[in-house]
Amino acid sequence: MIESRRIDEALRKIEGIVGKKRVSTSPEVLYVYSYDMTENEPSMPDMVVLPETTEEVSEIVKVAYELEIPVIPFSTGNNVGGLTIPERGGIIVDLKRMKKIEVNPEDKYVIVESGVSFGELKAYLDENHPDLIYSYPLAPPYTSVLANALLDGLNNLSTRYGAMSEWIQGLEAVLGDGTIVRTGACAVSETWFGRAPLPDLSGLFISWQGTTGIVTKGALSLIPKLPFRKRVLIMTYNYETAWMLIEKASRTRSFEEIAGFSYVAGKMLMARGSKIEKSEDDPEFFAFIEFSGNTKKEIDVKEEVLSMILKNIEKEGGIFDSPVDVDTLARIYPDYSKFAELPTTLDFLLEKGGLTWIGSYGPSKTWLKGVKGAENILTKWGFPPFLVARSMKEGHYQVIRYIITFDRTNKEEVKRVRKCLEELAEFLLDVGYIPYKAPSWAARIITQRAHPGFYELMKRIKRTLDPKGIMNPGKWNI
Amino acid sequence: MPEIKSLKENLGTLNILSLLLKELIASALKKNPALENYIKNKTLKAGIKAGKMSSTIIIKNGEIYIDNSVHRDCNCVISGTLDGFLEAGIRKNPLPLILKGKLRAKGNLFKLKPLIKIFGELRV
Repeated sequence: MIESRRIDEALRKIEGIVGKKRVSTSPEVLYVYSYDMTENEPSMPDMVVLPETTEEVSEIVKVAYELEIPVIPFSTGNNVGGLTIPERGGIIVDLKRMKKIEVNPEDKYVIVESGVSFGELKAYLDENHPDLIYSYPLAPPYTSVLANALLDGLNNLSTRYGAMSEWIQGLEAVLGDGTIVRTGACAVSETWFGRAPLPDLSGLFISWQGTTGIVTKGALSLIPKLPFRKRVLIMTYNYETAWMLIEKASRTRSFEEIAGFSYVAGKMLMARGSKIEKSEDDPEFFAFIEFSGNTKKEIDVKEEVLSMILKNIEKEGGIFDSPVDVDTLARIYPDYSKFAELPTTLDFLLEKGGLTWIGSYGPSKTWLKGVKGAENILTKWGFPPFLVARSMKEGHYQVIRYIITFDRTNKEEVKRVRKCLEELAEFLLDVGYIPYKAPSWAARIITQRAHPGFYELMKRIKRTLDPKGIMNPGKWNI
Repeated sequence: MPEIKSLKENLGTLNILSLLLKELIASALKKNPALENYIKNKTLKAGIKAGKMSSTIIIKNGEIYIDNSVHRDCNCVISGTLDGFLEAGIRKNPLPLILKGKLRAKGNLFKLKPLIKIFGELRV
């Protein structure tokens, strides 16, 4: 609990920076910042402020630093991990008014401020630079582009390029005492062309969940949009076949996306509100393979590669149906485009009010073991195994993510969700998979298991960049 | 618009193919409400085998039912790849797909007419 005297003083000073209209301590306004859609415990902030520039953010943090009040960066609050819940109260710095987008078409990057959403970026690129694309998530269009990159999210081009932090070319951030810093080439050059060849300081803000500073601006890579594109869906009838496909396809360097869902996703879409059960002849896994090319012939060649892979899988005893053209499926059954065109709003996931997940990155060697073990845990706790999988960075690592929908008003169910997630986190770590966008409870498990030197280094960095420990306190167990 | 009824008590136990067919028939009926009258005096029990999944569509007394697996007493059975069925959905005439062997049909093909008419509405 922060003394009201300090809050009153902060309010007065912050009103002096942004004016009275962009700051509030009204409980009705603060309430919406106290929770998210997950099972994580809500907690009220003391104030919310909406800056418009990096300089304003810096001045606000200076006030918080002086008065030792926690500061929590907030863009859209859709992180699915309780990461913006102000565990110890404090000031929510809502960055939604910071919406500048600037493209450098020659060096192929975009500088975005923290309030820019995927929907806004996509619309901007489609209108102004239709020859360039970014990588988009299986998330609603109103989620933040920069937060997704800073939290190491995975998007539709992650099979080729890895987690989204790999797209970051440089950052502008405000440290825990209000100092404005820059990382990457933009620290020296006028152009934000990359992170090399300087010491890579961008990592001081990646996956740190706002505990080292508030990132206000970042440069992200764009890639050329090729004129031909094809997406296919392949249903496999067991996870062994799914794995054969993921593994073999990842070795060809032919495909931009090698990803998939368990049958639960398709059934949730088409049998809304029903109890999901696997029928005898249901496929276990829906694999999505996407590829693009400069010519139709290039597409045909990649299709031939895929067909060769499938023939080999068949020879090895894999069970699957022949590929389905996703665009045709989406034309006949438009609802299906919810899975095909990203960003996307999977509204059927929000029908129960609560949505949470455990997403993890880990080694190829244990993917199958991880998926099967995790499914047993979910089934034990009474949740359908909604798996999202993706081969990352040409198969250097894999994704195992399980989504749980639940009734937030049902306390017993909320408790069961947490217990299930904790067991999943422990199990996934046992098989080498590390949760990403880790909520506080998962961060505690991770840091307890981490090499002591790693955890010590984290604490030292935190102390250096945030000497008074005001930046999103409670996160990362530091 | 008639409800597409499931013979399974819990919709979530219908297989993916049955759920997809249910959705497609529902959108066809929505697109052309006159189909409701058209099916009133039609009777059909058609088996669909797409890839490794199978379903039965039943039209009886103006109602449409769907169930997993191919029922023994189906008038006719169409089988093929799921991709073949989708291609049939976007074509004006699915017959060439049968002739090419992309879809195979068994039984009384004339009975399929109401189904072809329903799915014809989905052509895009």
